[in-house]
Amino acid sequence: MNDDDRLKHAFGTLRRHDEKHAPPFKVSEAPPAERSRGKVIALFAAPATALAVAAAAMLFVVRADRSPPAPTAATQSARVVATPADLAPLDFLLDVPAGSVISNKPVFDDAVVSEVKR
Amino acid sequence: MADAGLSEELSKLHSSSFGWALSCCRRDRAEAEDVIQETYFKVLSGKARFDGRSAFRTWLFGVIRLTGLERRRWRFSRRREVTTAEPPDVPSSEPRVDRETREALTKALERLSERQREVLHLTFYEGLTVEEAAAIMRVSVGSARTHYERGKASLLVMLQKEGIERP
Repeated sequence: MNDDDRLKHAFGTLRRHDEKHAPPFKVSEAPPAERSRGKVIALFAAPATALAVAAAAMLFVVRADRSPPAPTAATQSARVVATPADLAPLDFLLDVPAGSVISNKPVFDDAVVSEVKR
Repeated sequence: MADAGLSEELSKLHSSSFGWALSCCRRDRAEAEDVIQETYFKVLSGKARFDGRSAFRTWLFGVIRLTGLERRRWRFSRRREVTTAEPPDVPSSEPRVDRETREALTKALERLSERQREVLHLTFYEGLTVEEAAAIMRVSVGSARTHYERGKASLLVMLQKEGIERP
């Protein structure tokens, strides 16, 4: 018996076994349930997620309208030194620690300046 | 082909189709039954159309193979466990030697690559030529022949190790 015959015989045993245990021939009207159930879930999952995101966004907007943000130390100090008309909404970002040292020009005594120039 | 004709063709090939589906699903019986049902649904609903360019069986086996692949991807994407279910217990009249050969073959096939398993199933189980197997597997004849030769050599060695020499 050559190699091909040996393999044919071995596959023959498998084939006979499969034939004996094959399910009866039947044709269903729909694809297998597990997968179609997955499709149905997927069909409803996308709109449900979109609705949840929209609801969360609306809640956020409503809450934002109701309570203005708590004033920070920087904005408070800006309000003290400037009138509201002078301040742009994001001006407080320019108010860094020790900002007055950077923004103010130092005043030197005239005698010292003339000494340096000489 | 009309629905009645298609149904009759599918019925005639049902046993072979189920064997091929089992091979495509790594002998997972439940999965193979789903693949067969999905394939029949595709064929009869017109989702898969036979255009007559090949033999009906070649085309049908191609659809079964693709359906098996689709289901595997779908299962993988959902991290589902695939378990190999045994067929329902039926008092068997299968001779002991045949059972041992079958079990050794099943075990050895699991260790082959997918392509090797496919080409050997189609040639030795179905009796198709390597050319026909290549058409179903959608590979070149040369590639199918390489898988056939390598798979056959590996399988013979494994069967010999299991003590399956001759019937």
